[in-house]
Amino acid sequence: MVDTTGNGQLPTAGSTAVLTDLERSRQELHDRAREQLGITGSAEAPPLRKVLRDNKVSWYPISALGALAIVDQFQGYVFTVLTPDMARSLGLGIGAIAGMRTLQALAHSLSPLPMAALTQNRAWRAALAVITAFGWSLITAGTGLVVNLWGLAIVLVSDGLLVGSAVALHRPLIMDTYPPNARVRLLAIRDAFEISTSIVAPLLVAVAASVFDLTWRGVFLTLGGVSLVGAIYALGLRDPGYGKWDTQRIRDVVHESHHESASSNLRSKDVELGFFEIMRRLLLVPTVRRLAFGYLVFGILLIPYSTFLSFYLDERWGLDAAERGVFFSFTAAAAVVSLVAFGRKGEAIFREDPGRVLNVAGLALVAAVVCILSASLMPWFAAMVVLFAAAQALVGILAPLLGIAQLSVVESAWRPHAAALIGIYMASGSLLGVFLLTGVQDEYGLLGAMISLMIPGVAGALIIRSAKDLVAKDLDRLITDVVEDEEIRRITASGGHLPLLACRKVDFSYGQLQVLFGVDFAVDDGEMVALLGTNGAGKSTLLKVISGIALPSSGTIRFRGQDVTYLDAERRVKLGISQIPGGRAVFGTMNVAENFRAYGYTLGRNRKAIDAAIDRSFVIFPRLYERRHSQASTLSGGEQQMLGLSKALILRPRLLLIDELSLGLAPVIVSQLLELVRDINAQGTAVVLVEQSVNVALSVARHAYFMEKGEIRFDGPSDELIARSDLLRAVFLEGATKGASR
Amino acid sequence: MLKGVAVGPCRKVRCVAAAAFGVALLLTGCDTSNMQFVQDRRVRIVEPEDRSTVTLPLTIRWEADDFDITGKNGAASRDAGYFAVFVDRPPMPPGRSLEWMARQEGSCGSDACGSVKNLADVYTTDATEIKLTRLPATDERSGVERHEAVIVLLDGSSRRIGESAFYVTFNFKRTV
Repeated sequence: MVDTTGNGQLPTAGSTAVLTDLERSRQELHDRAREQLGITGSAEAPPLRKVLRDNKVSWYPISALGALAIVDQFQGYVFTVLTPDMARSLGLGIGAIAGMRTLQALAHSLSPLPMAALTQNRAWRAALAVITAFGWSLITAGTGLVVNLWGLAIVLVSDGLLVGSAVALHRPLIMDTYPPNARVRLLAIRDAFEISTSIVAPLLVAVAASVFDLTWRGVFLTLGGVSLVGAIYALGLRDPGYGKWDTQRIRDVVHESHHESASSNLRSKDVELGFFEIMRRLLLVPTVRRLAFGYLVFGILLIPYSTFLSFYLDERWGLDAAERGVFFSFTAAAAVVSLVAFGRKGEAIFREDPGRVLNVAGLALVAAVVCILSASLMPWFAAMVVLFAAAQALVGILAPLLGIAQLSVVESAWRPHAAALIGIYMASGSLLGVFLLTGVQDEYGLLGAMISLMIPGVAGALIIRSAKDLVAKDLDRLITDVVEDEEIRRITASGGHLPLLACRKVDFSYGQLQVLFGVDFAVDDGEMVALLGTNGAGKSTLLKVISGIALPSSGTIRFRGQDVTYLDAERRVKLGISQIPGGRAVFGTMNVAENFRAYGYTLGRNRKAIDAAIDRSFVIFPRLYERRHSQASTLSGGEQQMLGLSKALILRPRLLLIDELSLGLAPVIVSQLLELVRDINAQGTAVVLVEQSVNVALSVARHAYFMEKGEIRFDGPSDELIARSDLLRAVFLEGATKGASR
Repeated sequence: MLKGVAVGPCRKVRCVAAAAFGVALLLTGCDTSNMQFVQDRRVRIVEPEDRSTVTLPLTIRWEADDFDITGKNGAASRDAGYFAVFVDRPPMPPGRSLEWMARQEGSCGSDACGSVKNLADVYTTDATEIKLTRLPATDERSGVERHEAVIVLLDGSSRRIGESAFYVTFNFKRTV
């Protein structure tokens, strides 16, 4: 029940002590959590075999995921190689098939998103990875039975949709299956398996076509069968659950520090983020955002590079399809070797300084670009091959380095979403690259297009490298959030008292313009708080951040102990947070009764409850009853504020945020409205009253905050604020002192 | 077997139904009689050499084994008939005739349209060679055009036999 001991009450000593206690233990816990995540500051990586043995994890998951990583590209690879044969035998134009391939590429780039959505509330990534593997195996085999263009469209789009699971699920599964001090190496091994497709697939095609004399149909059926074997091998995969080695370990550290055993199942369904909330949240993580942009630019280089390279080898060196296949197998082998060899070094770099992996990735990309440029201009065949192999080896090590940086700073349950984001940005870049480079090729020829790849390569390297300072900060922020979350849960579980609303270190920016700086703000149950400040101090912005209309760039907002920082505004209304915006908070084109119904929308389909709430509002505001059929925009200022306030009567929130109640109203009207606010508060609703008029605010609230230039400059009893002439003088000292003396 | 995946009977039925629908869709219009899983080696192109540079007039020559060259005699046999050569264009689908292909060309406002004789860059013969005096222009800017000739087998009623397609690619430098 809501504590209604009287309006204007201050936060209890208990809740303040809790917050202070939290702050004290946070740093100690934070340092231990970093250790648990494998960031030791030491540039050493213990042997992989020892790490797996010590942590009692087997090689099977990585080998199963590796097998899936090899076979997931079979259909696409064989299709690329055998398109001319299919066109001739089915009597189809290359253009029509290319159109279907475009559809497949579109499905492939978008499919990681539904895969991420499917796994966000249930840890069944392993099962989904295996199910989709069976799906794409059957599709690969089924491609060999296609007889017309529509059949092709179905198999291509289906394959595109299913292989998205590899993008969204494989790396997050590795992150959760294996301990932090083995992840870079295992991500590298997984990528090595994936690149091995370029060795295994041509080999299988060659054997099927040459030794067994099969047509494209036979080749698809054969590779579908091999893919099926891979899927069967992966049947033993089990989902380890979310955050076993990181977020859960951090939570354990919190409990160990209090000599308690960790409790489980503390997640609240009410505040679990939805799909789009997660995506939006991820793009607010600086490392993720910067790397996503880096992937976009890098994507301009990557896919067009493979395509243009094929044409280059054909035109410049006269290599036919088979010879090009051998060339790509050789360069892929170079990448596999580099990934396996570099894994341990990458691990050590990450353990010493997580941000340094991006520095290395940026340098590797620049080096790769130089190799591509040199190879394109090289007059000697052998040197050309060696340089392209070196470029492939350097590009190969980017994936685990970028992957570990991006996925480490994200909560484990959101990693499929982060992986899907990477796929989307990369695909967008590739599409852009194809358009741009085709134009360049038309103008400057194939060599010109190859050389122009340098520009996105170097730009991508610079962007990736620029994120190196963000990784450590985001990792620390993740640890801080998890530690705080677990501390709060621990305190709640042990019966400790928490404020109704607690904002911690909230930053907010409008684009590049930061307007909130580390704002700490708390409201207790049933409390009436005045939020004062100069014009432009950030008061209204803070209300928007609390109600969810705006999202902070950092910091947390907790409501009833739950983290609601990135929850949608409408979900916060359902949790009990309502805001009456500044000015006239009404729907002007609707009449009064319709406005009431609109406020009642969040009560759902319970028409009786809405009708009762509307009746109650009309009793309190007889004037609104008289004007119930009038358009809201024709009401007077006072009537419009009454209508706005009636929202609180209908929704009955736990926390009511009122922005500029008195703006432009006559004193007698303000007085009536304030009386109503007191009544609402007396019924148990905590109220935050944002005002420029100090006398108005302090006449109803005993607890006040004062904001200036985006920072909280005062937090305490209203009487003390009145005494702080240094704060109030500049803007409204005179009015305040008059108001207080009345 | 898979941890955490509860598949109820209704869901199973739905999954099976969806899979069946997918397979049915996939096989829509499937004529398995024309499907070919092993390479057909009955025709071997001997001239021009693959990826060679040619001049006009160009002779394309091939050898045929286990195929009786009977010409257009109306008989529907898989082992007898004649040849069609397609230059820089895909052949008709298996089982379709040249007449069908001509009809797909659409109307061009002339009585000649829709006639096999007017199919551009399509040649039929009951010999094992043809002589080309022209090649379709490509939009290749480097000056060297790449062309492809595809030979398919037709039965006596001018329907394409199976999925077999024999091809050669060659380069051509256009001077005018």
